[in-house]
Parts: sequence; structure tokens; C-alpha cells
Amino acid sequence: MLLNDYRFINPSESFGLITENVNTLRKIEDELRIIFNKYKITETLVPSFEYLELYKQVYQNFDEDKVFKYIGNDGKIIALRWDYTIPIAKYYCLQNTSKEARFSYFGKVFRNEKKYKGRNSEEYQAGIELINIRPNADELCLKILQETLNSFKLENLKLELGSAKIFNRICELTKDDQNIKEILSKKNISEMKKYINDKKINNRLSIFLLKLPRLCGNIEMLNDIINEVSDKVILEALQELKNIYEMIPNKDYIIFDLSMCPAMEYYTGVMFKVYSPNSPEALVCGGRYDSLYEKFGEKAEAIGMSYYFSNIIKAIESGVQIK
Amino acid sequence: MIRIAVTKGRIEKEFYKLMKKIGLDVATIENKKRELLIRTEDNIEMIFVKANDVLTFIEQGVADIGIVGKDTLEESDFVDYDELFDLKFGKCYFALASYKEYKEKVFKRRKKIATKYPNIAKKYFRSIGEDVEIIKLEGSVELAPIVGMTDGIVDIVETGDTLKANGLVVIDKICEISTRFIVNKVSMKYKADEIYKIIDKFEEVI
Repeated sequence: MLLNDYRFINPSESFGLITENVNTLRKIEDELRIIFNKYKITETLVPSFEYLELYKQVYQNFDEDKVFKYIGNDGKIIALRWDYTIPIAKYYCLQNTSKEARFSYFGKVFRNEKKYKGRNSEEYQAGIELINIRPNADELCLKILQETLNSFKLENLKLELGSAKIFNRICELTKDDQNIKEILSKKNISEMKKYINDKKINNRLSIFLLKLPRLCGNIEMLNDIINEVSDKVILEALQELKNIYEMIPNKDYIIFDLSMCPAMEYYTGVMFKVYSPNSPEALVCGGRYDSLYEKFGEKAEAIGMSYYFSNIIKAIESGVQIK
Repeated sequence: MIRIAVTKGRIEKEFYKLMKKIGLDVATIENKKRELLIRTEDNIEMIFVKANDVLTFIEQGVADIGIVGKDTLEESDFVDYDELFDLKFGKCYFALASYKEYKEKVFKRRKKIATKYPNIAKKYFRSIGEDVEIIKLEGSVELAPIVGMTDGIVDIVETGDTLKANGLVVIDKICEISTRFIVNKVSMKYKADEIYKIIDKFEEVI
């Protein structure tokens, strides 16, 4: 007897089996692996299951709805792997060394995305975590990133830098993180004006805040704003971005977004994203996070980044179409 | 080239007026027949879609700019866009409306609320510490309390005439709404100059 509809339908969460672009994906993966090996980065094999409670404790506003979960043997809720940073942090901190460590990963993460919006709930990722590397871990990470970007063979990429220190400082100064995040993450010029009026924010800060949603651009923009800003902490953050810029080998495609908001609350310093005009979302995201490991009982500085393969493939595909 | 997704209907008409004000070509659009994609003299591509689809087109990265009501933005769970600017037309507000007895009435069960915007209604009632049953309708929401299906409604109020005609009053204002100028985040990385040029002109006339 012939199987019924299940013989061809897939659950809406499913990626479906593909043969298209698998070679492209594996080729990029191979090239990333060669580069990661060159930098003595240890590849990890990360478990697929984790306690939901762990994610909830690490991320304050964790969106549980996005997690695939089930009740485990011990009656606790188990989450299907939602990211790589947490399991790797857990592993490192268990070693109880404060030594330098370099980890990489390749595999899928599972995030329950909206239906009927052209989104996948299985995302193939690669990435690295560089832990306790001193000095210049930021530069090392960006150097590795630039080397790997060549393997995409994509034109017109942009590497954007921002700093969580700016965002954190503004939250501190305004004693408000909810509204500030809402306004800055959307670069909302009108709301910022309204906010400054409503809150009667002092002159100096208000001038900077008014400008902030529009502070995206190249190194000239950054230099200009360095000359204008008076707040010590913000100035330090800007200077740090400039130093990183100076140390990056290939500067052509670097832009800055000074109102970039931390996607993860554990970011403490430089943040970066790689864009292609042919993908509606970033191809690579990363940043420095020096406070995450504390939660696991270990003081450690770290910087990491993830490659989003569905976006990378999308960019490569439409690039080919144009030619 | 910049592509703008405009909400069909009232927002579309008001937006043309603004475009005209800042000296952009609108004649090409006004002369259109049933085309859904028009290229103007200023090399702007306009597509005409329903409010929710503006967001989908932005999300998929096929439109750079979206012209859409705050109501649609608030109701949607898509958040990864830049909401640069308040165009300040299409002003109205979200309100909880019912018969005027609603406030004093003691309910011995969960209230029932009809709305076209379940997310906004849910958020509102949570913010005032209430748990209600929400019934989604696609339109003519005012009818629900009249026929006794629900105790109240959460809906957009512009003049209040429809409420009045149906014997309802505003119980509580929830939030202000107007039309917004939103942008796909990646477009901001590649076309910021062109986009800000438009914004600057709008800032002068609004």
C-alpha cells in the first residue's frame, strides 16, 4: 500500500532535504576549517540538547517561544541547541583553567521561526570563540574574519563595526535601557527627538543623542564625531573602534554604526556584522563579551563570531544570477 | 535605485502629497492603471501592497523603504527594521471602547474583547494587569458588543464617529498611531545617502 501524504509533505519547521548548494556550503566550510586550523582553533562537537533553564538564566529576555523543547527524563525542560556560545562557555569554565583557548564549531542551531515568512527554523552555522587571548584579541578575530570572507568570493561586502560600550554608557546616563534600546535599534529619529523633549535631557548629551541614530558611515564620520564628543567613556569607545580600524589589514569596506545595539546582552565591547547587498540579513555577526563567563564562575575575556550560512548562500546565489 | 513599498489606500494618497511637496515626480504614479510596480522619473521604484505585506517585502529585502502605519508595526512580530521617521499623517489612536457602563460593571468572569489586533490588545491588557479572552475579527469590530458577542473592543479610533453611531465610548486610550517611514536594515548599509536625502527633505516639510 502506498504511504499517504506524509510521503512527501514536510513539517513547516523543516528545512527539507536539499542537494542544491550543498557543495557550495561544504566548500566554504572546508575553507573556513583550513583557516581556523591555521590559527590553531580547536574544533568542538557540541551537544544537541541543553537545559532550557540555562538559556533563561544567561539571557534576561530570552524568547522561549523560539526554542524547540521537550520534557527530559529528569522532568526538566530540554532545549534543542539554540546557540553555540553557551555550551562552549560551559565547557571552558568546567576546565577551570584561566588559560587562552580557541574553539570553533560547525552545525545547525534550531530556532522556531514565524510561519509563512520565508524563514527557516534550522540554521546552519559556523563560528569561533576566542577566550582569554591578550593582547589584541579583537584584531585577531577580525583578521581571521577578513581572511575567511575571501572564501565567499562575494563582491561588495561591507564590514560594519559598532561598540556595546556606547550603548551601555547611554543607558547609564539616561538611566533607561528599554526606551533607548527601542529607539536606537530602529534608528528612530522622530522618537529620539520626542524622548529628549519628554525627558528634558541636558544639553551636551542631547546633542549627541539627537545625532546618534544617524551616525552610520565611514572613518571620516568616526573621526568627526571623535572631535565632538566630550563624554569620557563614549570617547574611549570611539577611540577603541578607531584603533581596531587602524589595525585591520583591509580597510576598504569598513563602515561604522555608532548606534548599533547589542543583539545579545552579554556584549561588552566591539561588535561587528558583515553585509552583502544580496542578503536581507547579516552574513556574519560577532562581538566581544567579557561578562558572560562570570555567570559560569570564571572570569574570562572573550570574543566570538557566527557565520549564517543561509544568508551566505542567499548572497552567493543571487550574485550568480546577476552575472 | 530605491524601491519603496507603499500601503495601498489612504496612506498611499497622503504619501503622494508629501512626495509632491518635496518635489518628487508623482505624475507617473497617478497615471498608472493596474500596474503594481511603477518606476518614477526620479528613478524610484514604487510597489503597492497591503499593510502587512509592506513588512514582508521589507523583511525579505526586496523593498528598501516601507510606508506603513504604526498599527501594523505594533501588531507584527517582525522587528528587524529601522523605523527612521514619523511622517505624521494618518494620525489616530488605539483605544479600548465599550458601553459607558463598562467601567463600573463588576465582571464575574473573564471579559471578552473583540479586535482586529490581538497582539496589541493582549499587550494592553497585560500592562493593566488584566486577563481577557480575545476574539479576532477582520473588520466591523464595533458590531461585537452590539450583538452581545463581547464586552468591549480594541480598535483604531480616528474621529470617534463610528463608535458614537454605535453607542460606544472610548474607555481608555492605548497609544498614538501615525504613518512611519521604515527601512530594511541592509538597505541602510548600502543606500544610506539616498535614504537620508529623502528624510532631510521630509524633515523640512513636516
